[in-house]
Amino acid sequence: MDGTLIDIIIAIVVISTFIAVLFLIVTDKLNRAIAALTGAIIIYFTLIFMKGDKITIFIDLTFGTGGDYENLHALVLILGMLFIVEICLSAGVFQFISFQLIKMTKGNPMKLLLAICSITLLVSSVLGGILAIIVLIPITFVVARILNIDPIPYVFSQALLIPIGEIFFSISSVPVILITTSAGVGFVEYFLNVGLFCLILFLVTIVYVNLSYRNKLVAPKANLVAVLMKYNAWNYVPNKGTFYRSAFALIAILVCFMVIPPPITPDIIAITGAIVLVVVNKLNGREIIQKLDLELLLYLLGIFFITGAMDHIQIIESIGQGLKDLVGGNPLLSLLTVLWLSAFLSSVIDDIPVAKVLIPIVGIISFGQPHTLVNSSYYSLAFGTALGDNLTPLGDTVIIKNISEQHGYEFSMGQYFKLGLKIGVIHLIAVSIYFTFFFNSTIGLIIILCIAIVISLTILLQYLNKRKKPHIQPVSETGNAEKNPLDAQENPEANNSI
Amino acid sequence: MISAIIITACFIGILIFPFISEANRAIVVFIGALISFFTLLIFEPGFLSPSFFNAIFNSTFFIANIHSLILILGMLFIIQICNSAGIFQFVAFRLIQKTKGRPLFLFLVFSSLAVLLGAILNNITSVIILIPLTIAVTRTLNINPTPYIISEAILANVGGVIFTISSVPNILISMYAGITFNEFFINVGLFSLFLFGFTTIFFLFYYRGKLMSSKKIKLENLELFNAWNYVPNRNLFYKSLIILLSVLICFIITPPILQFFSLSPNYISADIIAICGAMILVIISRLNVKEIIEKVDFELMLFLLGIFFITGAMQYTGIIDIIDNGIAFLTGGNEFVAIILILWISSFLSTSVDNLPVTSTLMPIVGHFTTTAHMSGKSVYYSLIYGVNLGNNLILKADKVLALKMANQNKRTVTSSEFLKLSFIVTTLQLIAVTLYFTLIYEFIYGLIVLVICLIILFLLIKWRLKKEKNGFNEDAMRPLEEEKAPIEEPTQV
Repeated sequence: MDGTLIDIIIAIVVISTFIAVLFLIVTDKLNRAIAALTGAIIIYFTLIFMKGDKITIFIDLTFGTGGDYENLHALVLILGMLFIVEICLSAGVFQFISFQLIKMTKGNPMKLLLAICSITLLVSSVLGGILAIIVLIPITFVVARILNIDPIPYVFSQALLIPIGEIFFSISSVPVILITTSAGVGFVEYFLNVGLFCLILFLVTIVYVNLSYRNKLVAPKANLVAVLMKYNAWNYVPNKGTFYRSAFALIAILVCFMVIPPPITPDIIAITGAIVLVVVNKLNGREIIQKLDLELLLYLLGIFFITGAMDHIQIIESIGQGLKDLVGGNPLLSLLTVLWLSAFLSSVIDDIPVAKVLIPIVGIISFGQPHTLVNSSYYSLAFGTALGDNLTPLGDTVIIKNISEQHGYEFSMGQYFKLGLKIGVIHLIAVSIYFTFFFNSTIGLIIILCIAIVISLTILLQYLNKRKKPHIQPVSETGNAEKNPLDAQENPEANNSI
Repeated sequence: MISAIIITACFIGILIFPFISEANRAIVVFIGALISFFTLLIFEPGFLSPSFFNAIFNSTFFIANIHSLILILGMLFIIQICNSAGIFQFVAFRLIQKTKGRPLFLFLVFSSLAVLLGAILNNITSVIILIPLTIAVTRTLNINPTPYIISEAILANVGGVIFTISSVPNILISMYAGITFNEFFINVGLFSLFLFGFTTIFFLFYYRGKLMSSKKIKLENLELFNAWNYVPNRNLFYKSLIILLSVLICFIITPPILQFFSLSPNYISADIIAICGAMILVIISRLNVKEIIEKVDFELMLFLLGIFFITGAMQYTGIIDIIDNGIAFLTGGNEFVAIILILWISSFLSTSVDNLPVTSTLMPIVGHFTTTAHMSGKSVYYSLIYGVNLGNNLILKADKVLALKMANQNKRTVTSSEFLKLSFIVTTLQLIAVTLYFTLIYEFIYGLIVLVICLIILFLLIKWRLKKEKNGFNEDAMRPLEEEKAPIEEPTQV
């Protein structure tokens, strides 16, 4: 009796610490690393003095319980990726490629949108969200200024695509790294199941943005395009030698992720690649190390400990059991529950703790199911944590707003919120359909058909509206000339996405 | 066998790399660690199996290393904030003002400051704080800064053997051997204070000509300067001072309190105290956390991680056992011989190379040589601590090179040959003193005899030196020295 009471008190302390940490992070009252570490210390004392755990408990909890040390692998992988990203970023690799691609569009708005969006997908799939924003958004503004066009549709679509980029590869963002290392999903397997579907989500997003901003995507003047073509993309590259070596190493590392089999885990590949990059570029090791995001690593350690403790005192197990009873063993229902639950949680809370808490829960819910099904539960968690970001204009969006204000562009938060919410829900529905299709192709097909009909009807309606508009409100010739090819391109793509 | 050879080659490569190129040590160590990793993967079949991981993660070595890393992280945070709050500069300047500009007192104050700062900060930080201060003060007083700079740089190292937290090797060893703060201070710190006194007297004797000169001193400049100028924010100053002191007090009082409740002393280990203090300080100081974290020495942590990995690989392939057997063979199982051997070996090893790999390699071995109950069976670790810390001074390393650079930048030329000569002599004397200390503990009578012989030799040397100077031509400079000599030595000996 006494024992259970103490257990309950411990559980309350641990949960309330966790919630307090999350609250402090969400409200930005305290730096996330400090909040997580402080929470970890409080829980450590609780475990040691109230539960009577061994002093070495923190090692088990921080580096992964159950003897597979998944947290350690994740930490090493993140450390390696931090190195690689930092070096490629300072070599100007991403900036150069983005600008070259943009130049290839020759100012055609549709092509420009496509180019900017694909760049965003690729760059954020390597750099992760925040860095991709810091690198790409200023380039968009530079291009918009040169061409004298409205950058807002481009910036919005970039912001909406970043969460998709974050789940493109198994190394793209911290939550995905955590999920794949603990699920033991390989780089290729992950890409086939999640990455490819991300391309569909990508197309859906582009089409949607295209439809909502068709008035604003106008062609720039020819002389301005000439200015753009004269702009030298090598301006972004401080040193050509470093640039080539970094670009080559980055591609080599990505290839290694694909071809090297399991005994050598991605973390080893990443850290080896990182060290090779530092050595071949003859970089100043100290400078690079000082630039690495130690704060992120400390935050991760704190979160690992807290969630490990929640696992240790079996809070997570009881939540998982509860959810399992709720979904009643229906595999599709459990997938969808994980998807929408994680999406709504990560729309308010930071992705990393959400992923870390839900990983063991997903393990419990999918326990006893066949291997492919277990993996798809993890994929749905990856989708949910990333796509949930678009539902609320928190975190990344604030950075975008700051950057655009620095460049002197107005940015309506309400407008973005509406668009993000719609796109987020559309993404989640698309993913739900994707999973439904897996389990029950007939139902899936029916839903897809219904949606196809609805979409084509809407497009048709809008098209008709546009047709009527010129009679009431004559548009300038350039705008009119642009719309026809634009509409022509929309339809095949809309069909593709379906 | 092949893997053992390759890993040993990696380790030696890491040790000698700093001589060949300017590459960053963390990167070099990581290269070594990766090579060792792939070697193990190819040549050792059991590597990477779950049982292997479990064995590693439950080893004393690994757990101790994690504790050390946490302690280092916590202390880095606290020191970083205290430093930006200007605590060390403030205390140093207040003490300097108390000397009223008398060169001799000034020398004593600077020496004690070097030891005090060295005991709390790492050597490089204490040099960075003290040398500019020294140059500024000596410039206002118009005296020669050379004696001050050299003695500070050398004494900062002695400060590194006072507390468990004073230097990284101390942290590693005390975490591994379970040495508490108090134990360390009683067994090592107190004798280090003696070494401090001894070294100061040596410098006083050596520089008596320069320190005793009775020039006119412009006191006003020194008095006018307000020490509070070093403090950007008084609120922060008090907060960080309180946290720093309370962390130190917690280090001291926690083990006895835990013992009172009959709990093991590492129930709340020093690392937990440090990280608690760090978090509290960060929260109450309301500073920009990102900035603080950026300034934390992440490179040191990565370097340590790499070293831990390579040492672990050496343990795994049995290289450490070979070294272990080698030393056991040399000492013939005698603890006293082992202590002296470890002291001198580790000091000369850490002369030529970085002392962290040396510490990490010798740390798991030396415990085996404990056969008697002297110093509660931890004396071998103490001798390792003395060796790796004092050995740093035998040649000019990072902190001393920095001191030289800073002095030369400020047009206060300090020659490196003089520096090298002095630090070599002083360190050898210190090592002899430590040897004597251990001899007195183990073989009291022999120790006493040797001590007396040493004292006689020292006495004769001093007498010879003074006589030589008396006969020399520089007579007028010597006059005031001899008169003041006697009263000066007394306060330092106390």
